[in-house]
Amino acid sequence: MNRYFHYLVILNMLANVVALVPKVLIEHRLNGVVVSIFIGVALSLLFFYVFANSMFKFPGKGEPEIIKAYTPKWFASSYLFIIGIFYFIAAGIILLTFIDITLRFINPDMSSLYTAFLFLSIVCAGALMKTEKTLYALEIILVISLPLILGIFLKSLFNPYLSWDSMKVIVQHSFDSISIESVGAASYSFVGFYYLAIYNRLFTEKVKPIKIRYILLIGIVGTVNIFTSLMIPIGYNGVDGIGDFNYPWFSTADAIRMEFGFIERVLFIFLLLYIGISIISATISSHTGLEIIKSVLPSFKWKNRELMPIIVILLFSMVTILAQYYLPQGKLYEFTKIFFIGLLGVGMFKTFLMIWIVRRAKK
Amino acid sequence: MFPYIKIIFFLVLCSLLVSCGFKDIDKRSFVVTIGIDKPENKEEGYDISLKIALPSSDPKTQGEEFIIHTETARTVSEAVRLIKAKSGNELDFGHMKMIVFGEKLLQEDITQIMDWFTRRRDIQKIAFVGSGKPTAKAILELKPKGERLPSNKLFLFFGETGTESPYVTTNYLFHFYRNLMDRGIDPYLPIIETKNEEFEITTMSVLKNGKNAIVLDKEETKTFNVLNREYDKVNLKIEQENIYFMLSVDSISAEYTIVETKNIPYIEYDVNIKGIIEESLQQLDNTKIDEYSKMVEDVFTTEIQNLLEKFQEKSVDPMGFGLRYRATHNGTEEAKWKKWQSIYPALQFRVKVQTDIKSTGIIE
Repeated sequence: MNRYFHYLVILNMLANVVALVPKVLIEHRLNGVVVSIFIGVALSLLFFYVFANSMFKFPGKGEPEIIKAYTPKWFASSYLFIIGIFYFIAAGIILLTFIDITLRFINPDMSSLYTAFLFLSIVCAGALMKTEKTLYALEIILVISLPLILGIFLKSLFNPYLSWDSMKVIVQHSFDSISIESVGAASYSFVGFYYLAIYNRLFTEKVKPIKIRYILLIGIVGTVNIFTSLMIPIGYNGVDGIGDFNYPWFSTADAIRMEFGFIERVLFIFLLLYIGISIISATISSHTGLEIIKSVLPSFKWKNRELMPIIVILLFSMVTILAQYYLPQGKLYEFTKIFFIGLLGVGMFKTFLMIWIVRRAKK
Repeated sequence: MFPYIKIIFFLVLCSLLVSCGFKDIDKRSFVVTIGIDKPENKEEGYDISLKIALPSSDPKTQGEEFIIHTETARTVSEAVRLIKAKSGNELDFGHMKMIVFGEKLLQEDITQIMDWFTRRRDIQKIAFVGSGKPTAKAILELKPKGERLPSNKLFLFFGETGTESPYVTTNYLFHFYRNLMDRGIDPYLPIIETKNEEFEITTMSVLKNGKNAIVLDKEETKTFNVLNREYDKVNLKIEQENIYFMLSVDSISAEYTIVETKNIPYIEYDVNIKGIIEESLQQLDNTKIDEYSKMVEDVFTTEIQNLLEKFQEKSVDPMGFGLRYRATHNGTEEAKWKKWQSIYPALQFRVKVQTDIKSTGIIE
């Protein structure tokens, strides 16, 4: 398998910390969150298996080409349009959250418009790049930050001040009422495979279908990842106290001390690493969304230059900047929860659609 | 036309580089320690003292000078605003590594004041906390000999990069706040005293509902640290008729389980100690090493037993037995918590200490 595919899968596992996943899970910490996570993991692994294998049956083709070839035109364009918007929403959530984190932890004196402009200019420029180049950017960022992030995760685990009893309280509530929000939030860590919708265009070689063994491995890594992002903040801030924190992981990073690290406060290293992760995550999402939406919109040329992508990206930037004002943190959080549930629905629909398409393609 | 777009975009990006958000380092005052006291003649409000380090421009003489500003206000932020007006520089809390609560402040619930510390982004969650005796300001004002940077001595005490002593109880802000908020575990604070122009940090206090509930003496503090953090850089004193020796501990492990029986629930506390004899006032006999182990076990068992019973008597729980109960039982949190509160006063402690004296040292 292509190593770039692994990068795409890992990306979301890292980005979930910014995408408010820990906050949703922590809100339901006394509501059967453990079982919800396992349901989320099982569901997303099923989606993963079906979607990735069906995409690999069409080497070198993206989802727009496949959908257009096998479904009626009205369905293809409306479906692709909605899916494209979903990718943009995912990018928007990451961006809005990280803008808020920047304002809160890095520089509260900066105006939010200014910060939004700064991040959007990088993300939009990235989204307009060629598909191949975004992957290279992803590789560079992951190679630099993944070892350090793993190091911080490990460091946080081996701290004598970590309270294992607080975490065990959560396990006691494994079988209480299960909430669909936490199922959706848990599945977010796995949705990296959806980027195949566009990135499959680059994987031109015929690959063998994914084995169950590989899916299980992803499942184990992902489960460990979700439990890390849920449990460690609880271990540091307490089962009753954690509910007050807006960004549990950033407050947790502040509670880790590295006497002989580069900087004693891990928070700053963590912030630095997560600037990279959130920007590349937003870039990849918005690039995928852009490519999908581009395929259904008419092309609009001026002096032999395609202007449609720029118009779409500008629209996205405007919506993000407006959302800054009309979607404050509390509302964004509610919106994200709806998005997580929507993610489950889309996954379900996509799975059936792909099974159907693969059957038609065989005939 | 289009090549210019890139240049224009680049120029627009350059305009973002104007740095009005940050202030230069010489326009900042670095707060190293904050002290909070109760004002003497007012009912409400706090006395906030900030210890501000004055950097020196000469690298040979490190900046050991500092100033202390004190203001009284209803909330911490109001007092900080007032101090800001005095200092002339932007106050920077990024290097504030020590928070001292005055002893008198701890007579009332301090949960309220913790809000400022957890809400502010620039306060380190890894700042050390402690209680100052007689006042927090006295601790801030003290300038012990050999201190090369303001408050550095305190950081060395608590940071475990300098001294490592079982009498010094380290507690971080995040840990203190967690134990304050969580039901089933009570926070503790080391007590910092001043004696002959030096710090003395050998005792600690345990808080209940945000108030000072019990003060431990030196030996109890030591036992607590050994149990709570499995602190192994410790010496145990064995004193019996015609024998007096010190055991230097190499490794220690302390585990407990809550056992619920029909009659009386009890906590089984298993402590394993490995060590060597460091100093003895008598000639020791290598063949009698089992006897010595037995002596250590007896001494330490009673010490632990007394400490745990003292906690129980005052119904404080710094070890987190309640949290362990919540972690190992089913049911709603409210019901479990109520049940635990009825169990704890009747709880028995069964302490088992196992000692393994590896040698009597280099000599017999």
